[in-house]
Amino acid sequence: MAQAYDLTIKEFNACEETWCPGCGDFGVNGALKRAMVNLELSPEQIVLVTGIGCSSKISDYFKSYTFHTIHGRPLPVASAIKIANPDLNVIVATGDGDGYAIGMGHFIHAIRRNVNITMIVMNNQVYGLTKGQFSPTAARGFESGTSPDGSEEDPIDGPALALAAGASFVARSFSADMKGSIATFEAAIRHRGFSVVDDLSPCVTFNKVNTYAWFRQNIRKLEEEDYEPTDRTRALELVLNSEKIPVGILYQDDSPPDTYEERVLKDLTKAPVWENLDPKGWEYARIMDEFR
Amino acid sequence: MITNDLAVMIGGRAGDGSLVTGEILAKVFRDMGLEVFTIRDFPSNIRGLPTSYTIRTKDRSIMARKDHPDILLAIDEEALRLHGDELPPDGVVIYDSSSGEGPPDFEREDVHVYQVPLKSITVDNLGGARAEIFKNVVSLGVLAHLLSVDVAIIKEAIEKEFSRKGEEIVQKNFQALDLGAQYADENLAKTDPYVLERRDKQDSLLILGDDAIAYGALAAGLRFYAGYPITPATEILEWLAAHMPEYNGVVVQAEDEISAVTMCLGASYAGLRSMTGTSGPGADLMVEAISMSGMAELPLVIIHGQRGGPSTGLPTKVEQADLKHVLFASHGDFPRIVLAPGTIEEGFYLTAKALNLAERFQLPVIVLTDQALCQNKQTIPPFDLSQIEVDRGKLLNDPIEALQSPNGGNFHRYALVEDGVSPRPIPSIPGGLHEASSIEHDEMGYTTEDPELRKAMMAKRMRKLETARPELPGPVLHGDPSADLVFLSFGYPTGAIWEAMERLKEDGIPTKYVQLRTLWPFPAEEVGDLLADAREILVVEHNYSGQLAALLPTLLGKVLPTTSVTRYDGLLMTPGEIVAAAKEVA
Ligand SMILES: Cc1ncc(C[n+]2csc(CCOP(=O)(O)OP(=O)(O)O)c2C)c(N)n1
Ligand code: SF4
Repeated sequence: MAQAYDLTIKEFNACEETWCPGCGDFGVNGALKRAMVNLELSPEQIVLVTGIGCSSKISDYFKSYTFHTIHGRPLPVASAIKIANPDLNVIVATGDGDGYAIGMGHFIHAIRRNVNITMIVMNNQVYGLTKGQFSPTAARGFESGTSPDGSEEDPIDGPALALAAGASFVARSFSADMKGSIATFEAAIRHRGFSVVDDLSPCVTFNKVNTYAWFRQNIRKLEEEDYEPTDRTRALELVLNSEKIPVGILYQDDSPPDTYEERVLKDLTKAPVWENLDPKGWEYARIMDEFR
Repeated sequence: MITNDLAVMIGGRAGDGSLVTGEILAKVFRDMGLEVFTIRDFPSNIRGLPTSYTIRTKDRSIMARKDHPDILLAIDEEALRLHGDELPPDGVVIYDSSSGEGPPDFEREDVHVYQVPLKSITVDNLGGARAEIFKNVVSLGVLAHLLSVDVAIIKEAIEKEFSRKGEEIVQKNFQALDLGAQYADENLAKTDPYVLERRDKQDSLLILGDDAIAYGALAAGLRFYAGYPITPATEILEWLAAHMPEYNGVVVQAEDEISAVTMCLGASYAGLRSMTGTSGPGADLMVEAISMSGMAELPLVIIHGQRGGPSTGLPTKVEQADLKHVLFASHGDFPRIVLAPGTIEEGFYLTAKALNLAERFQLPVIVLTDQALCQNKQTIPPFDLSQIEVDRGKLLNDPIEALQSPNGGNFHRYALVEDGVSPRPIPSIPGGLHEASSIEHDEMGYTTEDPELRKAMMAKRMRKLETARPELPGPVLHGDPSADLVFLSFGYPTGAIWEAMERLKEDGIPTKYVQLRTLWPFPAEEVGDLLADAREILVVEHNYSGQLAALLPTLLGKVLPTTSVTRYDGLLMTPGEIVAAAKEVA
């Protein structure tokens, strides 16, 4: 019988954070822990997979099974974990460099597969850990160590790409809006399919343009509007054309779930990781007839 | 008369059906109780460029290419132009004479040329626009008659091959075969010396190296394979895609090799036996993840099937020029194991072993092989499945047993244990919480830059190599132990060396062969002992620079007298050229 859930967010605390005071990543960590409590998940049931960056350090600060991988690769790692053991709640926490620059290839293909995992991109529009170079989400003209005269490249928009690639859940949150972030993370984790949340989490040290104050002036909250996130085209239109940055659930596919692991495993209750691999229990000899 | 010892080369063009014809012929020889060894020499092209498929057969086990083809089925003129000179005196050409002219520019008097209007026979009798594709089978009929092979055996093989394409196709092939045999019977007088005699059929497998590797992995509990198509490893991906689902395993065709290899690490972390396979270009992309496997101490098995390099190189040809890559690629100091199967059978058993080693010692294991082993077929005895064991080492995957985490904190996943191998709980195990990390970490996996801890962790990881060493497949000594002329090699040249040694022995030159099966950690002591009395060491390898020969002094810690025997034109070494190299220093 299931035990009564009595965990608090304290049970999700791990090492003390070493982010700069005021860093947007604090908000993500706090909201993620709260979402887990609200979802009544225990640390053992969760795997948090990160890449490399300030944001990815969250795997030191969030107590669960965690895997701090290499720069840009948390998505394939996480996808395989979920396929191997679909009972796990697998979360990818990544940065805009990790997720949208070096890891961009995996982003699109993870969406195509639609493995039931949640990707949270802590988007600060800079490379924080390497001390402030422009990232793929930095605006044209953004001045940084590697763009002293302003970036010559146009930014990309993660949610727009995700929508175009067919993601079944796409949202944007603002790390200073704790309530909104918690609700969005919860919905993303609950969604059965690949979910992506682009979290606006300011870098207070290296991004003096996209500050908390800047975001407060430049976002609009969808929860305060009459917006139904069930139309992909409308969501895309909103993301591409809205003057202010829309924050909230942009799109959620409400058709029956069709995840990769359901397609390839056939029986989700038989996670491959629990198989006893002792060859005596398996029929392998018959295969030799193919070569006879 | 030459009985039961010949090599038939089918020279055709990519996509013209000569491959299937070769496959059928290989099965026919096998069904006659003979041993078979095939070589596909094909271009990186789907249709149109010249290919050759050579089927060698003999009444005892063969592992090498014959020095020359004996019989050339020249499906077109180009095949004759390319390969006519390779034939030995008394060799045979079966040539399509439909054009009414004899073979152009072919002036060899010492070979037996059988002219058969293959195309006309086919088109006149089988009709239809696509009739020409039966040309190959007509030539099989001719060959059957010349070698006195029972047509019924060929029909059986044809039936097996084509039955899924429908009865009509089977019947057309039968007809083509009979036409060929009949033509030969009525028009050709046999002048060549080759005959085949049926023997008692042995229980043997006619198997592709890649299939053996994939099968070995499956039998050893592989349940996750991720790969990106690349010659010569694609067949592993395809074979597993067809077989794994039945065993509740998963095969993912990843978007690139970085994804494939990192998926394997994810699956490994979650508790599945995982593996990927690739060739040089893909292996280059996997390099960063190999280092992560070393640091995060997660099992990883990579099948590295070498092909001709550098860069895209000779993508469908044999080479062994990635030796330095597999030994040294990736940054930082970390333990790794590199194994090298010398035969298709070893491909099966060593891959199974690799999965155990990777899990027991929680590190990357690379199985270094090559295009020839991967993509050649040969007959071998059935596999002995009782030899396959699954040893998952210190994996903690019992969902019932709660683990004790010291001080109520995280589990000490990277505990600084004596043998270097720390217990590894998989996600969801109660009490097993930890961070798996590519960053230097403490015992729980949390990031640290503490100098003392760093040193301790580095030493712990590297200790695993010493723990593993006694379990690694040692070098094998073949031949005359007292010989002072010694071959040293790894991988597929093994078969050619064996055959060369036999011939040298017949010529009164005793030799021995030290076959390396573990390349890293290098078994310096054992190899040093085996080479100690060598007057000359012939280091045989398929690459330009003699990579093994060049590394040998470093690997052994001493300089020994060596001669490099290399080949890097994309073709498989023959026993003959090894004999010649040996005679030069004998
Ligand atoms: C292969 C590789 N290239 C470069 C780096 C250096 N590097 C570490 S983090 C990082 C950028 C991180 O940016 P982002 O993902 O946006 O995370 P943030 O630090 O801003 O949270 C880079 C370039 C690396 N670790 N690995
Ligand atoms: S550098 Fe920026 S992203 Fe990194 S911890 Fe500091 S504020 Fe956060």
